[in-house]
Amino acid sequence: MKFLFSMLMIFSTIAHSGMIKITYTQKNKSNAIHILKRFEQKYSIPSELIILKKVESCISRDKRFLELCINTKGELIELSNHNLKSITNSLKVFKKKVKNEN
Amino acid sequence: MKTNYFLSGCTANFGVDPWFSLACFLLAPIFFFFSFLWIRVCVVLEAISKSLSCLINYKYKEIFLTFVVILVKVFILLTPCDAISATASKDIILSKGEQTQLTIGKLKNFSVGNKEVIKYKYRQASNEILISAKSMGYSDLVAWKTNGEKLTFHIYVTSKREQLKKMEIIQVLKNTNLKTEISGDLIYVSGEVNSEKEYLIIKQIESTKNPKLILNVQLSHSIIQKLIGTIYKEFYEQGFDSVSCEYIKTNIFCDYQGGSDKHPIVKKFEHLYRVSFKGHSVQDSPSNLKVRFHIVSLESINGTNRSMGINRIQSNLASAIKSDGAELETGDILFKDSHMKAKLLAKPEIQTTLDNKFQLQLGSEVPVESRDGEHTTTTWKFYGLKLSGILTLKHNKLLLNHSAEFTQLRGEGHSGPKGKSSIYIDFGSQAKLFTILMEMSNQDSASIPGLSRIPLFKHLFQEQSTYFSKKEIHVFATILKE
Repeated sequence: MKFLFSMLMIFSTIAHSGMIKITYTQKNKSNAIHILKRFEQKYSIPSELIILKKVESCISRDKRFLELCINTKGELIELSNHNLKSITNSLKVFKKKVKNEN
Repeated sequence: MKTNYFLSGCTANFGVDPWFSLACFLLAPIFFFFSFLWIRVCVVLEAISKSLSCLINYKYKEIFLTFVVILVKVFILLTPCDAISATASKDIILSKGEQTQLTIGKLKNFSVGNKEVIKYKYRQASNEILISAKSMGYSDLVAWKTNGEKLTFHIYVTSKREQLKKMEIIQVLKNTNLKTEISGDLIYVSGEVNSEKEYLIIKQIESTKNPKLILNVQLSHSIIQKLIGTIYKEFYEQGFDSVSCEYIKTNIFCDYQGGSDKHPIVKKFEHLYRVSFKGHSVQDSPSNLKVRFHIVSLESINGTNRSMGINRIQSNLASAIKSDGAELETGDILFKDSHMKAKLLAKPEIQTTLDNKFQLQLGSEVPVESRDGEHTTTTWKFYGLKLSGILTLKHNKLLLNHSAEFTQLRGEGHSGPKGKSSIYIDFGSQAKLFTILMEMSNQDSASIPGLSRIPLFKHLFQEQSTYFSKKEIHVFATILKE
C-alpha cells in the first residue's frame, strides 16, 4: 500500500513537470503539435520540458509555467502567468548560439 | 761536380718507402673530400653573403653570380629537406628515477643534449636507447637513422608526484573526445564536451585546480539541453516557483526561487554537476511595492529678489530629498554658485507590483475649443506631467522602465518634452529618473498714461522689458517595500 502511494506521488509530480504546457480542445491536436515543434526547432527547448495535453476548457492549471491553449475556435490563448518574464528568460539558455565566423 | 738529387731523390723515396706510399693512398680521398668541402663552403658562403648584403645592394646593383648560383639553388633545395626530416619530434615526460626505452629502428648515430638530466644506454642488438631520468630538468635527444631520417626527442624530467598527477589527467582525458596536447610541462585541453560523461570528467579535473592544466573547453548545445533541461525539470517537480540557469564555458550558474537553501535537490546538483546555485526567497521580491516620487523644480533666481535673509540655505538637492527636508516644501533652498532655488512640487506615492504597469498624472485636463467652419467642438486635453512605468526584477535587481511626458500651454498649441528610459534601483535607495529643462520669457511694459499715446514721442515715455527665466524639473524615485 505504501509502495502504491509513493508510486502515485511520483507519477502525480511527473505529470506536473515541464515549463511549457500546450493544451488543446477538441480536434486541435495537429495545431498543438505544430506549436510544440516550433518550440523545439526554433528555440531548441528540450522536449521533456514541453507537455502536450488535451483539455475540456482553456483554464490555467499551474501559474508557474508558460501555458498555451488552443480553444474551441482554434485560437491560441496565452493563459495568465505571473512568472512569464522569468520563464522566457530561463528558456533563452537553450537557444543555439550563432558562432561568429569572423 | 755536385749534382742536386733532391727531386729525383724524393721521388725515389716515394717508391722506395712503402709506408709512406700507403699513407698517401689512404689519406688522398679524405684530403680531396675536405678540400672540395672547403672550396664549396667558401664559394657558397660568399655568394649568399653578397646577395644578402645591404651595403652592396642598397643601390640596386646587379650581382653577377656565375656557376655558384647553381650551387646556391642546390643548397636552398636541400635545406627544407633537412628541415622536414628534423620535424619528427616527440615530447617525453619522465619523473625522477623513471626509465623508458626508445625503439628507433636502424640507428646510425645519436646525441644527448644534457647528460646531467638523463642517463642513456644504447642496445645495438635491439636498436633501442634506454633512458633513465637522473635529475629534474630538460634534455633533448637527437637520433639519425640509417635512411637519413632525423628524430628529436624532448625529454622533461619532473618530480614524481607532479608526474603522477599529470599522467592521471592524461589517462582520464584519453577516454574523452577532447584534444590533449602536452607543451613542455603544461597540458592543454581543448574541444567541445558532448556527453554527460565528458562533462563529469572535466568538472572532476577542474576541481583539482592544477596550475599546469589549461582547459579551453566549451559545452555543446546538446549537453546544455540535457543538463539544464534536467535541472529545470527536477526543480519544477519539487515545487520551486522558478529556476533560471546560465553557463559560461563549462560552468553552470542557476538562480531559483521558492525553496530553501539546503533543499536536497540543490545539494544534489551542486554535488553531481557542480552547479553554482543562488537562491532567492519570496521575501526578496515582495509582491507589493511602494514607489515614492519627488518632483522638484529648480528655478533661476536671476532678476528676482535675492535677499532671502536667514532662510537662505546652501545645500545639495539629493541630500535634501533624502532627509525629506521641510526646506524643500517651503522652497527656501538655494544652491551654491548656481543661483537656483529649489522647491518641492509634489511627492506622490503609488502602490504597485512587479511586472505590472503603473501610471501617474500630475496636472489637469483643460477644455480646448476648435472650430471647423460653423461648428465648434470642445476637447479635453491634459496639461502637466504624465509618468508611466513598469518594475521588473532583473539579475536580482529592480529595473524601472519608465516613460514621461510633460505638456504645457504655449500660445494656441500645447507642447512639451517626452522620453523613455530605464534604471536599476535598489530597495530604499533613491534614483534620479529624469530632468526637464525649460526656458521661459515674459514681456513687461510700463508707460505714463496719456504721454505714451503721442506719436514718435511715445517711446520716450514707455518702457518694455523682457525677463528670461530658467526652470528645471527633477524627478526622483524611491522604491520601498510595503
